Amino acid sequence: MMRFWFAPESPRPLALMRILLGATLFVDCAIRWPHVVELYSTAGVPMPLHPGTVLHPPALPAAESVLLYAALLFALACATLGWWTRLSLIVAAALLTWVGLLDYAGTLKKYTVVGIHLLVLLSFTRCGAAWSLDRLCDSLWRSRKRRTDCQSVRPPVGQTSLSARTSPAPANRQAGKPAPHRGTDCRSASYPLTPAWPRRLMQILVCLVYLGAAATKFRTPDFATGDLLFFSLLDLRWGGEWLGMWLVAHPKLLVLSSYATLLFETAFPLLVWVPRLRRPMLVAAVLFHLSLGYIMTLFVFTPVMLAALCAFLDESDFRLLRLPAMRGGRGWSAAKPRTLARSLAWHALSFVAFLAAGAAAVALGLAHQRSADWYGVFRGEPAAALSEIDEDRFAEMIEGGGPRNADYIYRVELGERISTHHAFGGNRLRPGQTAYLLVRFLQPHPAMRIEIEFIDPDGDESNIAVRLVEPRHVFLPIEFRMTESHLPGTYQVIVKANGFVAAKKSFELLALDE
Amino acid sequence: MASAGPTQPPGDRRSSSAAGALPVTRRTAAALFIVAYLAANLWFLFLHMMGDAGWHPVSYFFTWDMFPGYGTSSARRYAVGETESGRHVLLLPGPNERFRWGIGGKLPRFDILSTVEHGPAADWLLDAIDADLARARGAHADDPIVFVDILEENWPAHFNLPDDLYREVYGVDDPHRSSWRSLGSAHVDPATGRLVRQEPADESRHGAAGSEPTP
Repeated sequence: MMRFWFAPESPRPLALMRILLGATLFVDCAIRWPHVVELYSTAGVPMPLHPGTVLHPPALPAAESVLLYAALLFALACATLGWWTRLSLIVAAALLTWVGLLDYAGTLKKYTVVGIHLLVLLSFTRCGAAWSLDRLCDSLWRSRKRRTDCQSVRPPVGQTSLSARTSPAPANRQAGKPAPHRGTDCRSASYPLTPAWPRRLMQILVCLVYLGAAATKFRTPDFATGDLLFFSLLDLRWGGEWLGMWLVAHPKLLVLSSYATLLFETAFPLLVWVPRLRRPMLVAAVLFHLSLGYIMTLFVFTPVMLAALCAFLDESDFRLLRLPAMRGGRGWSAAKPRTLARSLAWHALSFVAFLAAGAAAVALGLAHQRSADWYGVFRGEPAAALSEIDEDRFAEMIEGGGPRNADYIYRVELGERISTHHAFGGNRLRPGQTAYLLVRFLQPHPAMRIEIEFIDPDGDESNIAVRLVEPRHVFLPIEFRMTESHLPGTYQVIVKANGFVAAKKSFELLALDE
Repeated sequence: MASAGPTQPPGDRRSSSAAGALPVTRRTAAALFIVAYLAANLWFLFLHMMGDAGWHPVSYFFTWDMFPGYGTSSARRYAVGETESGRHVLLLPGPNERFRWGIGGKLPRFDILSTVEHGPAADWLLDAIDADLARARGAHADDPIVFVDILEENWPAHFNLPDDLYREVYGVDDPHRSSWRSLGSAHVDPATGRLVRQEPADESRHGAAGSEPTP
């Protein structure tokens, strides 16, 4: 257990997470930059998550809000680049929480919360020790010392630099023998190690996110029927683009997608811990999020979760990508700089540069907002006259009426078999078979008169069913038996509510000898 | 939980005796944090599974309830100002509501909210209208806004299908029709230029939503 939580390990998976997450959140926040005044300041209309509670941070005047938001963008940029990484992560997490709590409508989403969790947990790691400006500065500082090391310790004769990058031979590992001398290749990377526990918490967080999402779906009966996905994809906030809408038009695929989602969300938290299944589950997770991101409008949820999945990567995955392996790094106890005084001076200089860059970024941000002044709060310029609404349009708005009864019908399916949610089978019937029509209603709905009309291949109309639907009814099944007396050909079934056509379906009746 | 990705570098001698490498005080502090973090996550997961996830404001940060429900309709909210001369102008969404969200970036914030009729959202809506009135005051000084109607346009969510898919699914053209309802109305105080909030919603001023017409 101690090893599970506290083993030192490579910082590179976390560095990759830091870059992905930081860049994603930076883009997400940068999109809101023109709207800081509206969303977070007293000059706009903040929409706090929990008004009047301890989680209601004070909204500040426009200029101060702009300053803090610019600091947030600067912190996210620095966290991505790995410049004063830990400080940047802490500042970014604090400011992102602040703006999120002030605007739950447009800012605080579940992916924002996942991002905040990851920023906080990353701040406990040495994710800035790899692929970062901190690392670059550290390398510059140590380059002179490293050159000295390389000159004094040379690789054994015949050992290539590549061999220094590979793992010990499997036979040695199995026998429990120590690793062979790996030489000292100054071209391979050497990073300070980082404790495992923040990454373990991130792994558990990802699993809990999936379990929580699965629990939500288990508790929602309409998920298994495909209805939840149906209406979620039709939602103008999160709904589907073209592929999502295409799925809506194919309800059986929605049911399958719903089951696939549940299967993944319950399987991943269990199976990812099995070493042989780790990579397959990671691939499944990546495909799951990419497809989800393509089907729905989830904004940065997909890249945030892809960043979170980096918690399950290890050094062997980087070797697969042919990235140089890391050398056994300096543990935290050995990470002290060689020359304290010079190191302090170097760090002080770097910190002053960091603060100066931060101050410049914030000042530039304020200047940009002042010059753009999208909300007229800095220069006090009045807005242009409001757009006028013509009288016909206004009359329509005021007296437009309520929804038509036909609008409450959201699903009409025709088939050879029927359940409470779907009709099954093709639309080619033989004489003697029964055609089933399923009509489902939005809830709540008023009492309605549903008429089913039938148009035979000759174009003759007949009214085959009239039903009075009570508000408590959620679906209406209609069946009609096709006999030998019916003409072969294409039939149309028209569903009307109080005289308004809601849907038209057609099926083909085959001839007796077909 | 054997190992989901041990990342210690191969051949690192420290890794075998890793636990001892972290100073005891830091390890203790880390252990306390781990216990607290796991406890919070598991507690809120348990509550969520029991269907009781909203008992504390902080629960939002530990409850992973993606797609907890769905709406079967879509809605847009408007505030229409009536000027002294009887003209009508669109107050909300107005110049103060520039932020957009949703598919294609079309939804102002008040259209993201599931309801604006009750609770804090109703106050935010009135605050936003006040801010729009204040900003428009200069431009409408000659013909000031004296009355505001707050209206909601809504339609069934399945009307959001693209036209070709709608025809494929329902066999008829998407009617693209919507219905309207009044969320309230209020006079504008000429002295302050703000809504008179004490006044109850006056839905009878223009009549309520119409009844089912005949085709």
